[in-house]
Amino acid sequence: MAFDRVRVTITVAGIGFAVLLMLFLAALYDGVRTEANGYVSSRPVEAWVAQEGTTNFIKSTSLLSAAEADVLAQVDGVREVSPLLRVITTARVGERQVTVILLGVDPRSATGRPEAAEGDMVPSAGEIVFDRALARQHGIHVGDTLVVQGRPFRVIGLSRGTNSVLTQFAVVTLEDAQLLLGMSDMASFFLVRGIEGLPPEALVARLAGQVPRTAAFTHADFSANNMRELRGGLLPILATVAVLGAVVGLAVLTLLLYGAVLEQREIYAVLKAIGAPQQVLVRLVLFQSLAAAGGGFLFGALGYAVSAPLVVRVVPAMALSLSADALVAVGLATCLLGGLGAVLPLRRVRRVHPAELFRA
Amino acid sequence: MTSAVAVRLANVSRHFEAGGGLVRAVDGVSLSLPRGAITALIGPSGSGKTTLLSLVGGLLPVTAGVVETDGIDLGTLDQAALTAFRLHHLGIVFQAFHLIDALTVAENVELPLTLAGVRRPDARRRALALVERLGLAARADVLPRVLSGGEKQRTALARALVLDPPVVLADEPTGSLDAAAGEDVITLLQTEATAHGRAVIAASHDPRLLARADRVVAMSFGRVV
Repeated sequence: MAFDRVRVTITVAGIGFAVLLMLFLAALYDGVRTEANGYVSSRPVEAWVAQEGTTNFIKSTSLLSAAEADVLAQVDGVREVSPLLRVITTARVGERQVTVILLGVDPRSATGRPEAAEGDMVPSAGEIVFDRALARQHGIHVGDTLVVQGRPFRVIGLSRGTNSVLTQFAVVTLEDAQLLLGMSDMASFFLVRGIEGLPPEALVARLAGQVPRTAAFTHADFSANNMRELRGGLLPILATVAVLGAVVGLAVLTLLLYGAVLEQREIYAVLKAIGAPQQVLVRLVLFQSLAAAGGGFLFGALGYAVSAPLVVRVVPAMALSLSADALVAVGLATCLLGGLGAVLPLRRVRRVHPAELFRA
Repeated sequence: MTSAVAVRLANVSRHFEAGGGLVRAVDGVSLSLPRGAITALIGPSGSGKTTLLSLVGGLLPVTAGVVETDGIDLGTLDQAALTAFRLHHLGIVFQAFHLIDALTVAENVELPLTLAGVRRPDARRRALALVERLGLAARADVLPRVLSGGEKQRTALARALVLDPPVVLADEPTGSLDAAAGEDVITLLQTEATAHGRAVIAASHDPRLLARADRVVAMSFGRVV
């Protein structure tokens, strides 16, 4: 079958860019999902305690008295209770102001400690652990000093899993966070570890009602609540744009394939005249369409492999994480595009009449 | 036993609406065309020659009447059966050749064999044998764009003959050729008719073809005159 190389290139590139867009959005979707909930989901705890009415970490305010940790620690089945204070504030980096979610944690407990990318993760007074994406974006290194509400903090480490995409986390001691907030007995959540063998549900049942106006959650439920908030916010937007990318790819494929069929109508007429069965023509158009889609997928996947590291380098806060599942899903979506893209061209092929060859 | 008649048309008409009026492209034609002979269809443009070829080949449906080609009543066949009929019973040669440019000479000739389900090595062997018989052996592996007009038409003829059809339809087969190439193609058509017993039905204005035709059917305004 005759192929116009320029047309094939344009078709493959057009689909490839649509695939690239879908891959980036899928990677961003996964990245946001894992990163934005990464800190909460990776806590080595069995239960969370929050202010009554608070169900998640991302979109709610929770104010508790830090002293109530002692009450919870007395509950049967509790091994450890660690307060965590969340403060949204602004850090000054050189001449720039950077909004961060400051997490005040108990440095003696591992429960609030972020995952290390570089340096130390256990801050003392006047020390801070910074998210590595934010650090890369602003040129911050371990050993640098930055200013939060007029107080200097020395950067002792860079963390991973602390990039919530829209903003990033920095970790200080609970006391430093309380000082910055101006409220010495304040906590946002209690991270609770239970004794070995005690199911999280049983632990939560024992914690419930121990402190007035609090709510207890299993770690799994609290993490799921966060995911639900994410799905209700940014993620549907990303999914919508991914679908739009697929629609653009479909339009490009259909348009170019339809043009190719028009250009090759003589060939289809000859094939019909000499006795090519309809299924041969269907296979021919489908082959062209799927080959273009396959080529486009390879183009897009290769483009992603090359450009994703560059994009993250330019925009460090961009959380990209392309899972194998997402890659397979985009691949299947591209195959589907290939099939759908052949529908209109096939209708056109059906209307090609072999008798027209006698007139040409 | 095979009938001596390859094509039988009984009161065949093909009418269609155009420009607000009824066009009688073919109107009440009855003919019997023999095997082993060249039948030339002549007549001015618009006289119905090409439409008649299309009706004989099952490329257009009749408005009325019966077309029997190689003993098959085409009116009883659905589209899929008509397609299979064209593949196995008919060879078609066009004025503009209509070769597939991306395929070599041998591949163009091989195409009907592939469509008929002949396995690749056998299809290749049969295509090359026919290409050689029609004097194109040296050109078997070249693309049509480098062929002369005569070579293109011989390739088209090879494609039409490769499945050994009993009926060959030719629409102005020498219309795009110079004198020598035209003579060559006429000779090939005559050989196919006489030596292989095919019914060759050619719409043509070429006096050389008319001179060597076994029968000449003149048409005017859709009727045989």
